[in-house]
Amino acid sequence: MNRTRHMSYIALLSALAIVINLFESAFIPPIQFGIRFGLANIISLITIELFSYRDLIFVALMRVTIGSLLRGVIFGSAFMISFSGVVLSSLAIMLCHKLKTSFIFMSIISAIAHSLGQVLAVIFLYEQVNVFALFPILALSSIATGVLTGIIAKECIKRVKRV
Amino acid sequence: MKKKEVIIIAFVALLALAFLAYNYLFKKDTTYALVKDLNTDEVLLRFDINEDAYYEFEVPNGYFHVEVKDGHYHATDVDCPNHDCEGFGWMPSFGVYTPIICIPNGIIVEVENE
Repeated sequence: MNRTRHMSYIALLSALAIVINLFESAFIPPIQFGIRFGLANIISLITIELFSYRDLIFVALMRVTIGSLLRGVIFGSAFMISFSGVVLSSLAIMLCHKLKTSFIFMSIISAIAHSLGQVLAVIFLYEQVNVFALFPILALSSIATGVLTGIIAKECIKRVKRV
Repeated sequence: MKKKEVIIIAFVALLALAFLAYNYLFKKDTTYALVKDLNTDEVLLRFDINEDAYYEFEVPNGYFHVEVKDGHYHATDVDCPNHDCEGFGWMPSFGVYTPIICIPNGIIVEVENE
């Protein structure tokens, strides 16, 4: 793949991740306990499967930075919390990819890591240890949402690979 | 998924369920909840969960409301960019209390830790 083509794909994936992120936060309210589907993670899973670790980091950083900028929460606490969630979930994806785990497992672990990153960020930023009470609920829901996003990402990859 | 992976996920789920069961079985017999400033930990309001009420606070993005009804409370009609705190729903839910957090407004609503 030449450089321009590669750059276009990465820009396209970044744009998709940002739009999905904004769409979910605007139109799909949290179910309960602040639980969200984490649909933007589908793009991270597609990126790691089709491209490299470097591209995954780029897409993830674009998603959190531009997404926060468009929501008007850039460089505030909300940004820091999103950022730590995305960093931890990306690291989990890279680790799972390196260990050659199954795709659904990678998706579940990255969803759990995302929740963990956000909870830890709140604990460290505000010194509110009680917030950890949220994590077991988020971890359980991450298993369900991880399976869902994993299946969607797998189906997308099947179709995208043909292109 | 491989067998090893299923075991890891099942272990995580069991651990989370055990933590929730512990929280449910040994929950504090409290009737009060607190609305606190996340940054300063200052208590803005201490309210009785069993007393129906509707509270309003001025926050950086506008107003933050807490509705108390039938022994439950929730954040509602909040002026903020993402409305995540409203998505925490009524507390307790399924017998479990979790803090309700509003990051853009720097507010946390939680049961009183006696």
